Amino acid sequence: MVVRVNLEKVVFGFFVLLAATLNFGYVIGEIDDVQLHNVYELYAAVAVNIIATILKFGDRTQIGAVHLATSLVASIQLIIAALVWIWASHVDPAGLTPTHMASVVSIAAGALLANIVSVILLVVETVSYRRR
Amino acid sequence: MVNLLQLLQRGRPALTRPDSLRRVRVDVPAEPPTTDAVFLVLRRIRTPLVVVVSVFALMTFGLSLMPGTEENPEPLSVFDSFYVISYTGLTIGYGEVPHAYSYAQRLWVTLTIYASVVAWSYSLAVLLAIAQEKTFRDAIALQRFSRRVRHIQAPFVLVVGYGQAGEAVCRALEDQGREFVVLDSDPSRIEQLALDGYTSDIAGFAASGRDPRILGMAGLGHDYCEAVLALTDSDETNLSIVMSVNLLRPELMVIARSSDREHAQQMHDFAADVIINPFDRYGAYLVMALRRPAGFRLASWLMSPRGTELPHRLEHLAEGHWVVCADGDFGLEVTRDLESAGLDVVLVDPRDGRPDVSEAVGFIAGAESDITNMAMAAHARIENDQLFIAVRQNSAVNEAPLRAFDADSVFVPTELLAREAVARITSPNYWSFIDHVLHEDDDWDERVMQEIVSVVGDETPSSSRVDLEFHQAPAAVRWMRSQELTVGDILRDPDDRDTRLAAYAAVLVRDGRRIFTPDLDLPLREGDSLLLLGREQDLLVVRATLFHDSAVEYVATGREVATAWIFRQVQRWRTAARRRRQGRS
Repeated sequence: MVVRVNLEKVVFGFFVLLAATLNFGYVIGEIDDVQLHNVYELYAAVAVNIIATILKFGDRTQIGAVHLATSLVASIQLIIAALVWIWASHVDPAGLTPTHMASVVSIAAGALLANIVSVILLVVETVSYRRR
Repeated sequence: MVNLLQLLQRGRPALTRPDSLRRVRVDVPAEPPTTDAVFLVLRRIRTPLVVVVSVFALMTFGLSLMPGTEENPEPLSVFDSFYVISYTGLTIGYGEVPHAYSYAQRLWVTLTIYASVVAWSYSLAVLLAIAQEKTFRDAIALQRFSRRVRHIQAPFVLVVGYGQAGEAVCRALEDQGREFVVLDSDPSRIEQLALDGYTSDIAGFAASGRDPRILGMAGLGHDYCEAVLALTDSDETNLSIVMSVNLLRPELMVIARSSDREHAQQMHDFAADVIINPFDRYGAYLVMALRRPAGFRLASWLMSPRGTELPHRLEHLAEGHWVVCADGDFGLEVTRDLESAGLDVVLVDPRDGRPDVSEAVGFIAGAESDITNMAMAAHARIENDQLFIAVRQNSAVNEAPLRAFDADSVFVPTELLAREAVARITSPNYWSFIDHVLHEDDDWDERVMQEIVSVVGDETPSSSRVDLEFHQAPAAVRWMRSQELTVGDILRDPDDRDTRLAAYAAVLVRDGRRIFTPDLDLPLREGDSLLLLGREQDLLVVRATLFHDSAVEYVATGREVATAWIFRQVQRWRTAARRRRQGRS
């Protein structure tokens, strides 16, 4: 039997996983240590999460709707984290203090939770997928 | 097992109907057969959005890596880069912020401009293509239509089929100020609906009534839907509509058009309230015009659009030898009706050439071609000018020449259909009155016709139902609890009680029984319901009278009573004082 790989599923799975891994990579480390949280990682997490959200548009199934919801939560949280970072490093005269860093990372950690749910959904969907 | 939630109906409780074939209650489907427009768009714009976001992300990232000038060797921060890319990518262009750029940075910004323009134009092209697409536009139109139907807040009629009959029905409904929704499988007819100059914007959609889901979207499941009219050209479609209504909403009234007996019988099985076969009816009306001219005149007058003058008595109509020249079902139906009335009828085929009418008293030209009919009618008139000539008119196009020919009777199938349908949905009491007219003897019809004409004039009257219960007639109900109020009283002018308003009491419904043409001296009772025929304005006056205590007292007794409560008290006190004074003297 020839099992053809569904390209759409590959792209979708890639972005969902990448969103979660980038988010995880950014969050890991001492919460208030500025050295341990690279801004590019946050940036990449925001961009990939937005793309993952767009990829979930237009799916009318129940699981698709939950996918979209979790992705929206993750994207919004990450965008808020980025906004806090911008405020701390460009607007606040004190610059990026450990207090600021801690709040940026904790918001991003919230997004990580949503991303983990997304990955779990992906796994559940894959496991329950049967080709008739 | 019955689902209890389904018994909790919104709005009016469904009337149970013994002749419904429904065994299990099923909700009317209203899910559109095509996908939702929003989902369609979302699916299609995924790729363009991803392209735009990727270009922005890549360009922002790149710019934040480019080395700066000698004065500002640090590259731009991620946020600065995002800011610059945002305005550059959207081709707004504020220049070099926050300071002059190095060549590497300028090179990258140049690249950004081209990349983002390509990304934008691609996304716009996709969006425009979606907007142009037929499926998308259909989905939008369907959604808009179903939203409009859902938001209707008044009783309405669902008309399926917007041909000649459908249009005539819609005009009459509009004339009566009623709402309606139109379905027709031909999109050009629905477009015509918008151009036909109705006073309000009519909800119409181009889809076949055969699909119960479409019927559901057009309001079959709506609480305010009152009746469904199946007036399409196809008997099978009409039958399918009758079936859907009987099984899904058995409490609704269904009026269907049918042109053959087999389909009519099947519609009877599904308990259609009324099945109108114009071919069948015409013969019956012709016989009625011959045998009971007054009844025919009165009934056809009451069925005409408002403001139509009382028709003249048909001349030349006589018993004797009749010639029917027709093809198809029409000839058979008419011949059958005339024969059963005891007339001597000959049915000839128009293909056999011009029929001989020299011995006949009546001739019916009923072919399917208007030209053939005109030619045959003209020949018949030349041969025998005392002949009663009836012509069937199939297309509205030929109306003017036929009017000029001035046949004794012109049979327009769609018009007859529309008139009966409208008379029946106007109100059950109105139709019951017409039905009574059709079955009473001719002297009665003649007398009633004279009475109505003497009161309301010779234009077709409006009709209005007046319920003598507390919400519609509070003052009349209060008055009737202690004193007598007759039918004649409420038809008096509240400004001058000796003047009779142009209103005629046609039917009085009391305890579920109908009394036709009640006497003016008949005392009314609480709970009675009256069907009045008359001029629109006078009917409004009657309704207003029933609201005001002083007006009711005046029309009933002739006593002038003050309108305000305080003045009535003063009046009462003064009358009492006058009596006391008279008693003393």
